[in-house]
Amino acid sequence: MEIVKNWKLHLFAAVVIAISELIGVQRIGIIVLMPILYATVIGGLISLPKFKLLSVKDMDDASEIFPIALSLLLAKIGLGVGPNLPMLLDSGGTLFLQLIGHFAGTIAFALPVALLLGLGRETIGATYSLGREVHVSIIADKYGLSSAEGRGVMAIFICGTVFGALWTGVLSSVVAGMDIFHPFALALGAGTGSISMSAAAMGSIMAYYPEHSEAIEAYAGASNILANVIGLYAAMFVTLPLARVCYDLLDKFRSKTPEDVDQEKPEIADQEG
Amino acid sequence: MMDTILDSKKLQKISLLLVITALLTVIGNIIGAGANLVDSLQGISVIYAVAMVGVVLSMLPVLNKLSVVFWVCSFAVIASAPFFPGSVWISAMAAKVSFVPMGPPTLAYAGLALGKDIPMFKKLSWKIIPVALLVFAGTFLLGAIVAQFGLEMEGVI
Repeated sequence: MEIVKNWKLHLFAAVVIAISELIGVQRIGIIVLMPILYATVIGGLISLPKFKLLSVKDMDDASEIFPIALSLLLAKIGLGVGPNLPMLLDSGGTLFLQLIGHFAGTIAFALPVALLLGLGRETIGATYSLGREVHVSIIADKYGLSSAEGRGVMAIFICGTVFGALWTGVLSSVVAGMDIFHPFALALGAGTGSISMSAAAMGSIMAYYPEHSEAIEAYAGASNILANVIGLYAAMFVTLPLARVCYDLLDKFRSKTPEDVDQEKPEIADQEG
Repeated sequence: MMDTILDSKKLQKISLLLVITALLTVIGNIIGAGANLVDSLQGISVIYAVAMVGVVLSMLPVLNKLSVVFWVCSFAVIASAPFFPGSVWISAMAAKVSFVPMGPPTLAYAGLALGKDIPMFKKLSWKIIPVALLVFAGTFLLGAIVAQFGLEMEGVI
């Protein structure tokens, strides 16, 4: 119960929100910046250890509150889907098909670059999924978190926590501004399964297409729910094996780091030793 | 007796934390969306009630095999679906709180929790950063690409 009574924390949250909303939606060229992004950044700045504003306990409390507070946002997202069920069922085929895009997209875009940068089996953990809690626990179960794969997924998890929403919000506003996708397609794309990243993306898209706000909420919300529900099984049974296969197949193209070279020539090292 | 069915202390904690989150959302709704206090309170109360039903469902025996995300979303979808009695009123109430102010309260706590993760973040090799950027970009972009293709084939767009 003391977490409820951590008034200092709640006060900071209130201040963050007030400032974020006062700054409001800002456009810098093609990029749309929104309160949800400021909230993460300002909250993050306040939490920096060097400012000594928050104790570790405060930050642990905030960590615990985050998934609980999420329920309110989740309810709002679900409430945006219900009224539009007929429209969504009309596009049921696409709704499911684009999930494949979501699940395969991480491997398609990130795995080749990870290999080019010379990352080893960390690549598998890092690129097989979006790297949220459920994806971390799959890797923890299968390889253990101290494995290379474990390090990979944990790194992506940390990155997602630190800049996931920020990056997704900015990226989606750039893509929306480029006008290459229909807003409904953008909305489906925004339904990644990670609610915080998704909310940031939805805000950007709605800023560009306010007249389609309701449809955007519906499409993104539906995709989020499906990605969440199916995501665990897709990750375990499809994308993790897929990432392993891709890694093994493409490993010969991986840039070798000095450590790899040493490992491949143990005889020379022994002779010199 | 209720404790045999679900953890009432945990439920109490969650319900109070959600009240705080709801009030923070009202602040955002008033400042950011220019709504008035009464409308905001009405709207957030309905959203709160829907969320709480989902939370309770997720804590019941058997049902707790599925995540709270599943239950909150599912109930919210059902409660606003055309076939559900009162769904029109529920949707109308929920609409009094815009979507944009719903995000900051959750993300504010996420941000405030970051400080303890920063040391770990600094230890990451720089190479993982572009990989992470592409992971997040990839899921969005490929989803949008397939969606664009699919919606065109279905004749929706």
